[in-house]
Amino acid sequence: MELRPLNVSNTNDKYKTYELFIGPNHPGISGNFSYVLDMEGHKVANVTPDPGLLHRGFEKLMERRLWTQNLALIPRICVPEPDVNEVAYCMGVEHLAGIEIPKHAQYIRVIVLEMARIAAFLFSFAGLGGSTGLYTAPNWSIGDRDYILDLFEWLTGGRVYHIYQYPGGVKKDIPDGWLDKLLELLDYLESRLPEYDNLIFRNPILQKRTKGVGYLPAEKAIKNGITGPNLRASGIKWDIRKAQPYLVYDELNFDIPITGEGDAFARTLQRRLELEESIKILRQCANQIPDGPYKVKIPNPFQFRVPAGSYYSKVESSKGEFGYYIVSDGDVKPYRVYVRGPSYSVGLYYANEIMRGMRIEDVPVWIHTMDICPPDFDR
Amino acid sequence: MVNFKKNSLAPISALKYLFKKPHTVRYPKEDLNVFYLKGVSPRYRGLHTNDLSKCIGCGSCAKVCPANAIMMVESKDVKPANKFAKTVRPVIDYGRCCFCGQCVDVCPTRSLQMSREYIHSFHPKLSTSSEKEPETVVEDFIWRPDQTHADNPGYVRT
Ligand code: SF4
Ligand code: SF4
Repeated sequence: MELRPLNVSNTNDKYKTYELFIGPNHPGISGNFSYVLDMEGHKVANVTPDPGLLHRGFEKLMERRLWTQNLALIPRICVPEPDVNEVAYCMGVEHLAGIEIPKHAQYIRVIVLEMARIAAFLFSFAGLGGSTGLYTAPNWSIGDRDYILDLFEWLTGGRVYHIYQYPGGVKKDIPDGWLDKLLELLDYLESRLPEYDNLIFRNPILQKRTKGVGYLPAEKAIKNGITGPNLRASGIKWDIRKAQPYLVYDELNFDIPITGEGDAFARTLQRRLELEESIKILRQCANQIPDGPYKVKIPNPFQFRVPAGSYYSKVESSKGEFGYYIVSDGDVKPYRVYVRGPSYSVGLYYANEIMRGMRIEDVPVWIHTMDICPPDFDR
Repeated sequence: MVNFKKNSLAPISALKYLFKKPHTVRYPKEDLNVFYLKGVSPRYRGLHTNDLSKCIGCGSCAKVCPANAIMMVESKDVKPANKFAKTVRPVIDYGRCCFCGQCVDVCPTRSLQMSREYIHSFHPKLSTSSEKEPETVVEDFIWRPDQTHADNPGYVRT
């Protein structure tokens, strides 16, 4: 075989264009999902999202189960942050059934939602660290996330899938001493934030790798239905917690930080700043949670009929608007449940547009800073 | 507002964590120490326990189970609690159970509970022939809960 002289570049046409399969168990992707990339050298020429491996047919399964049985199923729609599913679904069912839940239960729901949000943000820092080669970040954030899971385990009995919400309130009351532990944990997390800043956000290498990557202009974000921190990082102040408050968010005092640059770095920074706000919300909840019942009684699951009607209930998750469109025909089972996952518009549609022309090493950075969670669109 | 200026020296401060205790617990030697009980949480949803003398065999647990993991099986060794009670008892397939706790929530006699016992992995003996293996798996994963773990209650109906 004749060796190529060192000063002649490789002009072998075989590698000019090629197909690159990223996923489903690839460390650069955030779930059992894959993209087929048509590459031209270093640049992505075309993308085909390839869903299906995670498809479990949730929406159809829900039509065959009782209203309350579904609560064991739906947390699985978003793995890093399962509680938004339970809360959105319960809120929808309660609206249709005309159930008003007690203040105490509403506060518990807000606490659960905000803890889940912090856990999901920590998870996304881990993803970013993994995709940029900063492996200390996943070690730290997954470790700190576990302290949140400990509290979840104490409150609900499960670490990841809590199955804790129930139409009419929550399944169990807060145990003694739990709120003190929560406040302790919040102090700890807050003391860790400067360390995170030093390690991740002030790190010149990470800034270089993320600044200017995957720029998302505000009008494109709106056109594609992108919500949550990704939209806010593009400079639009829209948060369902403020715009259309649900539960007790209108009684709490918090800000919506805006970064506004719209690139990968702004999106991570947005999550970092929102994490601080979530800590603030949790502190207020822990201090002003009123006493009272944690649920109202509903009929037993076999007789629990929800009056006919339809309702779209939505919750601000760590990834954006998480919605449940619930149709009931007055039976013991739902007639139709449609799930609006926040990653749907990003991971399936906008990916086609933005990934074209992106460099190959920026693809995982883009996926993780967009916090794409495949289970919620490939459901 | 916090300062997010680039600083090449900032990440180096993470080095001090080399000298701190790790997050992880070395499991068989140590156990979690976060709750007032050692080990998993006091409300943990683990393997089931069933007070076979209290259970009336109504089958609500089997009907509500979203994973269809419970089968009602005629049991010769139990006495019906009253004249309406039946002698069938729930048998749980742990290959299907998702530990949601709905069977516990629905049990009218509160006999069915969940314990803090969580180890249910096993491997058949190496001498087991491959034809026998499915049987041993079935034996280990499908069984009738009784009072074995009753001294370690976890998720119970309130
Ligand atoms: S365990 Fe409870 S729900 Fe199940 S058959 Fe016995 S009494 Fe009924
Ligand atoms: S815990 Fe849930 S899945 Fe398991 S047997 Fe009970 S109802 Fe079925």
